[in-house]
Amino acid sequence: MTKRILIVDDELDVLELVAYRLKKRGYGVLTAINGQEGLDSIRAERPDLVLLDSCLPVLDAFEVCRQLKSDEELKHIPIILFTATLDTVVAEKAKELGASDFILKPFDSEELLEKITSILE
Amino acid sequence: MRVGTKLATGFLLVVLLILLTLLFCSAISRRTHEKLEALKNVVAPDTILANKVDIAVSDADHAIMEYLIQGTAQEKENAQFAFAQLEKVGPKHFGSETHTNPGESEATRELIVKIRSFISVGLDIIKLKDQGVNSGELLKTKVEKLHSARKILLEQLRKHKVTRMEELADAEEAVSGAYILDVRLTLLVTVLGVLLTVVVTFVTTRSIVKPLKALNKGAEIVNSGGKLDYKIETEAKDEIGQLSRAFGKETKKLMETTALVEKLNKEIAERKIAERERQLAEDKYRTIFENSAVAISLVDEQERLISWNKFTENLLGMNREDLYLRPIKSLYPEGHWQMIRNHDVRQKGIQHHLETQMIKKNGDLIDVDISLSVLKNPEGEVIGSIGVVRDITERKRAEEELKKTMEMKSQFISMVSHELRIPLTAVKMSIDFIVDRLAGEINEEQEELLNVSKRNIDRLTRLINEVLTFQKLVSGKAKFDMETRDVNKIVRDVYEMMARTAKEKKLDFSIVLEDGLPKVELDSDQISQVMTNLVHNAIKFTEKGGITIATSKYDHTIRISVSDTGCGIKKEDMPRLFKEFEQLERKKGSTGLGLSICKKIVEQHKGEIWAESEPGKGTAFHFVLPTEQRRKA
Repeated sequence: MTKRILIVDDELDVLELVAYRLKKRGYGVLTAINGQEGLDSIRAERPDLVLLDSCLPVLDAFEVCRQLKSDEELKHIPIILFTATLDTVVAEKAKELGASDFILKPFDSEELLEKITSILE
Repeated sequence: MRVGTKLATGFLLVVLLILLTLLFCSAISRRTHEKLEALKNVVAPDTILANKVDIAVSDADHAIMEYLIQGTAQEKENAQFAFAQLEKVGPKHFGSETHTNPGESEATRELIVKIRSFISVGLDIIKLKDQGVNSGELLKTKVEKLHSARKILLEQLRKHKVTRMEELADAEEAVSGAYILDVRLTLLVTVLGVLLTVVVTFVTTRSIVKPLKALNKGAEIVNSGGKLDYKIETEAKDEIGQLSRAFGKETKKLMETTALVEKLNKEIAERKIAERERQLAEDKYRTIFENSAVAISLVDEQERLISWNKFTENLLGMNREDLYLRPIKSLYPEGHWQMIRNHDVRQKGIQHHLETQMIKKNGDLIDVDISLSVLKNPEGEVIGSIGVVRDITERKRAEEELKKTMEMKSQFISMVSHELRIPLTAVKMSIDFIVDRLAGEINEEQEELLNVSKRNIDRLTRLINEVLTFQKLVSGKAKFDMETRDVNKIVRDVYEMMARTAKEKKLDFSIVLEDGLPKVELDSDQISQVMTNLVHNAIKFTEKGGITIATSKYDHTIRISVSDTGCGIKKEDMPRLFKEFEQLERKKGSTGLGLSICKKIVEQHKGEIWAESEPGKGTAFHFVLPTEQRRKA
């Protein structure tokens, strides 16, 4: 069964490229452009993995993580956080809130795919 | 004996001697004169008498001759009278009480016998004439006898006179001799007296002067600033002796006094110098105080202002009337003085430094920096305090602005680096997309060009990271997660990460790790960053040969060395090596922050970093990290 991945990022080019890349790899791709939309999508679609940008409008990534992990039905869904800063505080906070991994922008496509593969298998 | 007694005795002795001499001389003189007078008394009447006798004899002789020739009664009477007169003048006189020394001499007695003999012959002739004998042998005999008697008498008389004259001459000679003796004696005695006087005076004077001289000598020595401990040797028992001994005591006292005076003088001199210096210092400090561009004020023990400089008035916009005896508390916002006081400045007497605010006359608040010092009297009691107040309003404002600027800069750098990443992510992903042939087939040339783009995106990313990292390190916002880690493990990770880059440049890349190194407390990401930076530099500046990362134990530290066989660093560039934004020639295309970041990270780990280089032969960067042992020590 095709694994479905939700990408939440307000940077549309990045969103599109990542989505395109993952589709080419054969994943089912869902997208959202802010935290609230992402959270709604998770609740509605129950994706297998969430790629979450750390800097989101409306509802920030930490809040998304917190709500996701406080929901018994959703807390098993793994999260990979995109960060654009070197600040390890963000990554650590994400991990604390239940994110499985993080990746620093700009990243190698291959690196991202490796991380996804290792989490989903 | 006392000096007075001595002098009096000497004087009396001299006077006595002179008196005695005079008395003696006058006695001798008087005695001689008396003798002469006595002799004169004898000789003079005697001589007169002798002359009278002479005349009387001549008269008698003449009278008897007249009588014999004329034979008258008148002549007889004349003759008898003449003889009676002779008797009267002669023996009677010689035997009379008027004669001092009647019959004294043999000659006088002889003379009287001769006179009587002449008289008896004369009276015999008269008797013969009376008997009527006018001529004849008998008368003639008698007359001859008379002449003879007269002759003898005159002779005797002459002898008598001569004797008397001789006696007188002798007496006069004796007087004269006595007089000469008298004079000589007087002279002698006078000379003796004078000599004695001189001797007495000398002795007396000496007995006075000698100790006096000694005393004087002592006084001179003492006076001329010589030894005060000079002791006057004296045996004199008089006042001078006492004086000398007293002098000794006095000089001893004087010596002590002089020492004391010298000490006092020295002290006075020192005090004068000290006073002068104090005055100078005071003037100096007063000038500093008055002209100081900071406000200096003095409060008493009741914390009221008692003294301040001009700047204080300027600072607070107050005048003398506003400030004098004003409680210092009122110059600070409510509670501020209490806060200052709470630092126990007055109790502990230490200088205290703090920043607070003060109220100007017009009510404005000014930011100030205060240094407070407690003033104590020599007994250690607090008598007030001195405050040095600087207006730091401007500084505060500047600081605030600087803080804001720094904050803005920090935000700007964060923002820029963040915002740059996003487009880079898209660019990079797009290229990956093409290179991975997801958008269709591309030829090798196209792929190579896209790889160049990709490498430069990576480089751009690294530059952004460097700027951001450096900014964080400098602003102190960098977070260090210190964990006890194995350095060799980190080296291996870095090696694996960088091996591909080295290989791409066809450089040998190796690691030489010492076994059994103690673990080190470090932030592995940061230390990885240091190693990565160093290896990256090494690769960049090495064209052939290789790069080696080595670890070793180095005196309670772990040493990590990254050495290459590159172009090396010029000696003159070495000092600038770790300075931020320094672009050495070899650092083309970098921010110049890589080594600065390394240095900051190593310093955060209480380590050290340095480089050794030989231009043309290569460079070695070393950094040491303290082991647990070292950190505890």
